[in-house]
Amino acid sequence: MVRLQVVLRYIGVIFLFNATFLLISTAISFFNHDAGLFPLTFSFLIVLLFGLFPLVFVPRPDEINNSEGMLIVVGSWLLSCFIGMLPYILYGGEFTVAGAWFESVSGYTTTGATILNNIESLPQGLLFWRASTHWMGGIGIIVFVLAVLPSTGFVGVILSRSEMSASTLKQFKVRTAEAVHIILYIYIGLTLLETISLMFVGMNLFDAVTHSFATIATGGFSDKNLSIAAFHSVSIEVVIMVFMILSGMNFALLFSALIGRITDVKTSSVLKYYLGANLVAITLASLNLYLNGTYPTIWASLRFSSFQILSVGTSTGFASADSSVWPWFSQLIIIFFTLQCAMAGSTSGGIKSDRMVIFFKALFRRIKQVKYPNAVIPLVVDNKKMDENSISLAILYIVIYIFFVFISAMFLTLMGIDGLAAFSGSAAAMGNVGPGLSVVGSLGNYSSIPMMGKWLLGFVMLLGRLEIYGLVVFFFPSTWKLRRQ
Amino acid sequence: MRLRLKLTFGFFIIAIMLFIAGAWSVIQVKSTQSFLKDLLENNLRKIVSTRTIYESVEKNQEGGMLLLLEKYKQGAALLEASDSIFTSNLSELQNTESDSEGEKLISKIQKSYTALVALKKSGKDKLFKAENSIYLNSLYRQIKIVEADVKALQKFYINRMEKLNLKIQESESKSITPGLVAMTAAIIFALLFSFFVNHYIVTPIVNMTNKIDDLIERGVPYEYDLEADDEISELSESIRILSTRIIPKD
Repeated sequence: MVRLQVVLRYIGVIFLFNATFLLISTAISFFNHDAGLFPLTFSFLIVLLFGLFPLVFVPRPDEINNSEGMLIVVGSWLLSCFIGMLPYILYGGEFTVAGAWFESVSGYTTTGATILNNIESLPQGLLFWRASTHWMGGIGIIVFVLAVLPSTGFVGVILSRSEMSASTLKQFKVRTAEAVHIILYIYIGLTLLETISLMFVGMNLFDAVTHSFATIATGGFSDKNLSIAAFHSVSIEVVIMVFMILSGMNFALLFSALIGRITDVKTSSVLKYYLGANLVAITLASLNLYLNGTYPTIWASLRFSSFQILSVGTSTGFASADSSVWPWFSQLIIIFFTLQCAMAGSTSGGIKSDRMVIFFKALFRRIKQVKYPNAVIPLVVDNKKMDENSISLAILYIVIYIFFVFISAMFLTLMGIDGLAAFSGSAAAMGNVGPGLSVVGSLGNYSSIPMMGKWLLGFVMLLGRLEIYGLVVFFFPSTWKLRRQ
Repeated sequence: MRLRLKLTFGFFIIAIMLFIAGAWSVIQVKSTQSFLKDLLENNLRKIVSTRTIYESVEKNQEGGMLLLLEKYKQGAALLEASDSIFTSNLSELQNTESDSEGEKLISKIQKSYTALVALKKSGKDKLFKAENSIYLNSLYRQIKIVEADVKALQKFYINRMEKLNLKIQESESKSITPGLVAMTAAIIFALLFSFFVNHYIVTPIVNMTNKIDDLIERGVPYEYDLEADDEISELSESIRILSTRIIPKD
């Protein structure tokens, strides 16, 4: 049974959190005297009032149940995406209602796909808001709020587990509340470190902050039309690559490394797979690009392939080159990483390396079992023996994931979009990667997608961000059995 | 928080939303007005002036044609008459133009027209005698140059007008969108408000009434716990105390 008023109260808290970032964006617009001031101020006031009202009426509950926790999480994501549209709709310009929905969902889910042809024409306040949606969505709006709020007790535990899987939280080997704080510290720490590094290699403060927000959240929104390619700087690309790799790693492993528990890092088979797969892909793509004559030198091939593959492989979506013009072999590598992405427990999207490791190990185990039918072969991932239920769930998730990508691609082709753009765009939306191939390539955008396609892709992004089940369950009528007073 | 404050807060929020929508629309309508003023007072007037200049160039052309047809007197008269119209309109444009690109185009016309006037003056005697057909050709060519420059200015003003038109459309949409957003927000808020009023005021009153009826009719002891700590919960507590006093527990 669900208490709707309690759900609304916590969504109100999330609104207030959003309002804080709207206020900062408003202040930026105010000091720049730009055209974003009125849209941002108006949006701030509406979001603030909607956030405050349930807090005034609904007393703080002592506890919440799992259904309420799930509704708060999914409701917060959905409604944040809706309120995130407000500044864009009110600003106008290139933003239609469908475009604003697409841009807002793309921001919160850290997808980083855009419908804008001329990003640089946006006022700075609005650009900051765009980057903020990435940063808020990066570790999850709920986790962010829980870590910021002083004490949420049992309610906080339920909400954390509704947003992040219990296994991810367990990896920190501390209490849930502490784990949430650690995640926040790592997140802020990485953002600060990247901002300073980017400024050190020549970016101005505004660009450094917005690009750090987008990198650490593995988002991909840039305030330049040509994304990272606009800077023509190898050092900027290197800094961003380093932080993309770190952001694609499980935060629990980063924490282990920070406190000296190096064994956890060394023995992690998922980490080995994540880094190894990227390394192999970069080597193969570099050779393919060089031998195919796409780039004149091996150095240029290595530079562009490493950035593009890491960008897609961590679900960030920045671009330093147009991968749509690459040979098919390299484009297929990009598609593979668009589906897989980085590690669970990071800010990355996609199927995730963890499930891929389980999938490959299960596959090899099956091959062994064909040879030795009576053998009992345990499946071990990161020194933990996996139970059969977890293995089935991981494989089922991969199947459902690809099924939804196909369904979305089919709908897009019905709207007249070419097959490659439809499939890669759907995979990029589902994996929260951003750029696909063809017209929605790394240096392109989604402006040519029809209105219904933008709504659909926005929904697919949310489906990917909430790992499918959350959003599906949200729309089941049985989830909404309300408790009467 | 007290019930009175909660209700006031709810109504206050609806009022703020509607106020913001109204204020925004007023600001946007004002900006649309300023665009319209700019469109009418500057651009439209300038387009009319440029049109008059163009007509005077056409008169120059007609004058030239008459000269070629050896109608010297009529031709010369037309050439002279067009001068004053041209000069007065061009100087008006010069005085009112603030855009650098517009200024450049006007000064270009000024230069080509000065050259035309000089050409006309230098060959006044030749004109009436039509001794020099080469001179007439060069005069005609210069008129064409002036015509092209005037056309360029006309095109510039028309483009500027189209841009202003787009701005007006955008401003119009900007004055409507906030109103729509605020109205939608107010409707959603009203639904939310109604839900809270129903949940925290109406339902408890109905439940209390039922429980009092149970107490009166069947002697069921009055017990009712409320979520909120407000006037209704105080009333419920008072009823509970009252019920224990007027109806013996046994």
